[in-house]
Amino acid sequence: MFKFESLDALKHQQLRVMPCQLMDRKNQVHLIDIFPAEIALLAQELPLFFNKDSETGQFNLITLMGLTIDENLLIENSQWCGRYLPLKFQAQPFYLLPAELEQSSPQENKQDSTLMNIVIDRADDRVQELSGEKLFNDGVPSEYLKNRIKILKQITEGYTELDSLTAFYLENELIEPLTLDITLNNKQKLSITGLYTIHRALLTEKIEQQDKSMPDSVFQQTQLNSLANQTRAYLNMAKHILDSQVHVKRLIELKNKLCEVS
Amino acid sequence: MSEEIKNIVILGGGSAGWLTAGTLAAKHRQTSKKPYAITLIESPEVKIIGVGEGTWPTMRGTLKTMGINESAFIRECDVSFKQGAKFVKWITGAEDDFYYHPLELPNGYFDTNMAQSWCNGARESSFSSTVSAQEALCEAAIAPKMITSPEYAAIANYAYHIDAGKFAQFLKRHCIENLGVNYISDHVTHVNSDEKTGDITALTTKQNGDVEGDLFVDCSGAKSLLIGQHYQVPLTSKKDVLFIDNAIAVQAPYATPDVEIPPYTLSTAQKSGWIWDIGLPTRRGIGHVFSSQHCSVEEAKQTLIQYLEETGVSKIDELRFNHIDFNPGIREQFWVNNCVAVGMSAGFLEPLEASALVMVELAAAAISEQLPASKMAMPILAKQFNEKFHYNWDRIVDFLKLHYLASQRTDSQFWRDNQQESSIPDSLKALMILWQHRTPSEFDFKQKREVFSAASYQYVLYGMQQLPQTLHSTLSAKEKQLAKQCMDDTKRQTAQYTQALPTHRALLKTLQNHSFQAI
Ligand SMILES: Cc1cc2nc3c(=O)[nH]c(=O)nc-3n(C[C@H](O)[C@H](O)[C@H](O)COP(=O)(O)OP(=O)(O)OC[C@H]3O[C@@H](n4cnc5c(N)ncnc54)[C@H](O)[C@@H]3O)c2cc1C
Repeated sequence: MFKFESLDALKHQQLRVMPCQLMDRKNQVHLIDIFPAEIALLAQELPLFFNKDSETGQFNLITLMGLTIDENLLIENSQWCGRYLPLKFQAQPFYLLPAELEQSSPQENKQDSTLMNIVIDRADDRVQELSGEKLFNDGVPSEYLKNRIKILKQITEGYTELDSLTAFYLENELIEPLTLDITLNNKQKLSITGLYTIHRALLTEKIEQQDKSMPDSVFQQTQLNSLANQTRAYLNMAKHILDSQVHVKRLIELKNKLCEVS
Repeated sequence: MSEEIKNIVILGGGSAGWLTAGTLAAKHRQTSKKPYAITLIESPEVKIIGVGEGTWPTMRGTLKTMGINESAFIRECDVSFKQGAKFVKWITGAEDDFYYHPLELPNGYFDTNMAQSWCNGARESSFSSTVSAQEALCEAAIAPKMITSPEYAAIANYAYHIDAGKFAQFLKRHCIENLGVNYISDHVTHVNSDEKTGDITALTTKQNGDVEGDLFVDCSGAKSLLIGQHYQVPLTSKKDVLFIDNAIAVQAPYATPDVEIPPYTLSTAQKSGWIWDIGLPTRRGIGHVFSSQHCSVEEAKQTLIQYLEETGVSKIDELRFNHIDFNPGIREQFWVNNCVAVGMSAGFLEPLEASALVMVELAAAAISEQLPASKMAMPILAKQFNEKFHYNWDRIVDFLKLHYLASQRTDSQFWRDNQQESSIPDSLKALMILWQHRTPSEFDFKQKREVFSAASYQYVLYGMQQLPQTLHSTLSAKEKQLAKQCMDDTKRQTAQYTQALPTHRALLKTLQNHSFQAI
């Protein structure tokens, strides 16, 4: 499981971390949270969906990486074989935790980052003292560590941006539930439930509306610009999420290959 | 005077008034041109009755139609989930005697006859637990859904337990702020009517003068100001059938703040009535309803106090006991001229099976769906409405009486009197004979939308061990097979649900900070 420790220049001066591209056991998950800033990139290669947080019922944006629980088809020989590695993987083995909650599971990142404590997971296979990036050089945080902290910050901001994004989609009733029913080459049937995507017809309608409402006077433009830009960006992201569904095919192909081998 | 219906005036701001206002106003929420205006008058001098904490699953549809956010409603009205009623000591009065009337229909209800299969089978477990997972969920104090379920969607069918006072306040705010209902806080002192037609033209108030309208909805509670007092429509008493006519209600704190909250209404039979016990998130609502012919108020209070003691309530002398007496009965007519009564003003029987608010919902929906544009059509509508609601009330009378009739208790005069021939409506007598030889079926009832379906009768009859004397098997091999399959499904479901669903208290706690999504 996890074994969290607050960062400590003295205690952790010898620690090294192998590159995050190298995957740990805990990366064996079939989905991971992603953030608005990652949509455009990830949608090029993986299917994106919404799902609901089982604790809060709120929508998260996720990328699907496997077709059964704890299956990550994007890992090959312990390496990530996608082009882009999701932020939450990039940040590992570092996490933000509420200051007093160091031993629990990583319910991280959802709160104000100022109240958060950066911790390292000592149970992560990539954390050792022989090879990889050092955390501290002579007691000073390394470039590597600074970059991880930056990523953690992006994740915190990402959740805030995600809240606005999902609020916009919900307000416009653009989210709809979806079940993936898949039959593999070996006739095995899979059904993945609890996923949500964008309602195609309503999105098209919304985009058309948006195009028509282009402001014509310069005055109006400056007034409406930022709002309209925001809307446009959100609608674009919705389009990416919707179109990314084609990549479910990629997962099925990977899964079929896996079944042939075993 | 124009014949067009433009102004609807609702007299009374209890649950009935606001549910009617909200249902009528929501009907035209989306349309920009409202066909009529709605005004609700509520007296600051006359308090609402403030009891009525149990509802039916219909309430989900009613609130949804009104555009209410379910999670906000749950937070603000101190709501808990209700998955049915547990009847204790109703069968023989023995300590361990109980049965459930769950809100889920039996699995396979529409495809085969589960009741017959159960009656003719080994009956290893109760009827309700053989055909539905809900009894197990209730016994384990498990919620009927998860935080990831969409709002108003059920995994196991559910209704609500509510704080009646907070509910009226909540509906009031929603109706005024979001649905454009006009609100007048004033006492009505006089009813003005047209001499020729007899139609009500306006209600005179103390401060706001005359409030005119084309249709008046009488939600003035037991006073029944318009239908009862103005139109002098008599109340048909049902006391000869349903003896309960008094209530002592009390609100009590939980023994400890984290005890499990029962997701059902607990009803425990007593010597001369029964006690309801409803668990809200922060307190219990408890009441003893009894027959004043069989028991004095003082004796009834003692019974209630004893129940409180036995169920872990301390500092009983600090609690406020609220005594309510009522006349179980139904108005001879509900709709007269341009006035229709909804709620206590139309009638009230007793709290058993929480049928009062569901009748309010049905009446409000009927008015809203069928309201004609002109007064010309009103007499026809009134006739339909009166027939339909008399039918509904009569079915409720039968169904409530069944609870007393099916009991084997003879340990007090109250229970013995309930078996008296003269106290049983003919319609129920006929059904009871029929059900000696066949299970209750949808064919036994006329309407598409019955208040209580045949399934409810099955749950009560078989819960109370009133099995048919002779029952021929009428099921084909395929239907038998299906019934067996449905029973297996129930077992699987029970295991699955009890494992996957959160406890009732856990879900209510999550709802304090989080909300169901609309989808
Ligand atoms: C003991 C008991 C238990 C019950 N339990 C249940 C239950 O579990 N489930 C269920 O569904 N139902 C239950 N009921 C019934 C339920 O309480 C009522 O059906 C419901 O509260 C509706 O009441 P109402 O709005 O008709 O009347 P009230 O709440 O009495 O409201 C009357 C309104 O009329 C107004 N008014 C009166 N006179 C004037 C005037 N002169 N001018 C202006 N305004 C005036 C008042 O101000 C008030 O707003 C129970 C009832 C009792 C007695």
